Amino acid sequence: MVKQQLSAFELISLLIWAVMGTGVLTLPWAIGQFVVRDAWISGLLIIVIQIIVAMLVTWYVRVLPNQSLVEGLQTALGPWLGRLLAVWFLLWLYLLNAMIVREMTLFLEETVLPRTPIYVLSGLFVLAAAYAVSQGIETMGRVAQLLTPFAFVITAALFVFALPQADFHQIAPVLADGWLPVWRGAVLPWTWSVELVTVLQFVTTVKNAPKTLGKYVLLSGALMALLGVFAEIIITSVLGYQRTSAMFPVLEVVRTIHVGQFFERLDPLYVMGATVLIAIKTSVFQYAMVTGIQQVFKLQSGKSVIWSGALAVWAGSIFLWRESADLGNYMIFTVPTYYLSTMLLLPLCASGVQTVRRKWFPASVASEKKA
Amino acid sequence: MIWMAGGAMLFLGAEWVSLLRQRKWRELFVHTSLTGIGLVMAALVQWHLWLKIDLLAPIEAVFMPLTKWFYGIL
Repeated sequence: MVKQQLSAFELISLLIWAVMGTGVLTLPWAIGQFVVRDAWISGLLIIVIQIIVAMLVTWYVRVLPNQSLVEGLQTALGPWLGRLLAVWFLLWLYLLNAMIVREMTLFLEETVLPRTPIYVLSGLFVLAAAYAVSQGIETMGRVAQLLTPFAFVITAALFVFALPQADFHQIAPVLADGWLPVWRGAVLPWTWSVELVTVLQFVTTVKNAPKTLGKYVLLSGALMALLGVFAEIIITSVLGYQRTSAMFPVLEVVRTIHVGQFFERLDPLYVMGATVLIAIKTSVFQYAMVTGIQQVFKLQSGKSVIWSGALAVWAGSIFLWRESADLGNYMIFTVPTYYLSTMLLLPLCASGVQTVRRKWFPASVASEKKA
Repeated sequence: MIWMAGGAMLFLGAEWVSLLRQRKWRELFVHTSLTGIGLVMAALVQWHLWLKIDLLAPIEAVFMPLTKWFYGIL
């Protein structure tokens, strides 16, 4: 079997949409709950956690080379504790996948398909993502690589067309309410950013990971921060304080676009684009979940759990969050510390323990390599 | 929703038979477990029993107070 490998552009594209796939939907809403005028600073602060994530993944791939996060946890912490923490990671991945699907169905329900049952929307969506996973990470990377330039150009164009509705006085004065709302607004962008640590689950597909992975994560982070700042400035200048009551602020901005009397109602275009990008995000995390399950249970191939895993995610997305309010509360009041603790502490534990073992117990590490 | 889950079961059933023939017991166990989880959740939603069960309660019980404390110190 040919080993799957991702090029730099493919990996960066996957990483960007692994965060911004739903980030463009939910982050503006989440940031808007805490800060309006200075929301762009919260978008900029995403780079803080990206730097930490880049350092963490670089450390991990240097002490546990060619090992996914699940494998690394078992190598560093032993078969029992390692597997227990790996299952914790898999649970996190499952809940993340279910949450992404639920966000997607909520988005489609609110925008273009209000009368379609949510289980039909989520079922079709999960089916597409599972098919992408069955084709492998390289195929997913190529799709992301193909779509990324279009996504950036179209996003830039939409925002340029919205400029006539923008009133840049709405983002002044800067920091009039102090730093506190800005820091609170940055919590959810940080939470979404730690999802990038999932790249460790497919680290074997990255060429020369110890030297390159950190740089690619940092570059993805910088591009995300740029996109975030740009988006927040436009959203605040177009919507002002109304953004706090808009569930999908970017969509509301797109709806304001009127050029002449023939270039308007671009929201379906935005919805189509967002749907595709969220599908890429879902497929990335479903791929990570499938490979994680394969490694924890020592299966010969992950292919046997792609479709059954998709069924579990589909059902869970509806079962776990009955209403949009439940999802909103979960995202704001549970997700931040859950994500930060899981995705920072797990690789930190694995890397820290393995570093200590390599320094103080080199014989045991060497015998593991031989085995 | 239960009909969609049933339809998925037909497809997954073919996979299940294939795993059984190849005697891949671990794959069969994981496959059956995941399918069972999906089916049970779909059934609970279909028969409106989901309102009585909140599987996220343990996670929310641990992380919700932590998150609120985190917002408080910022």
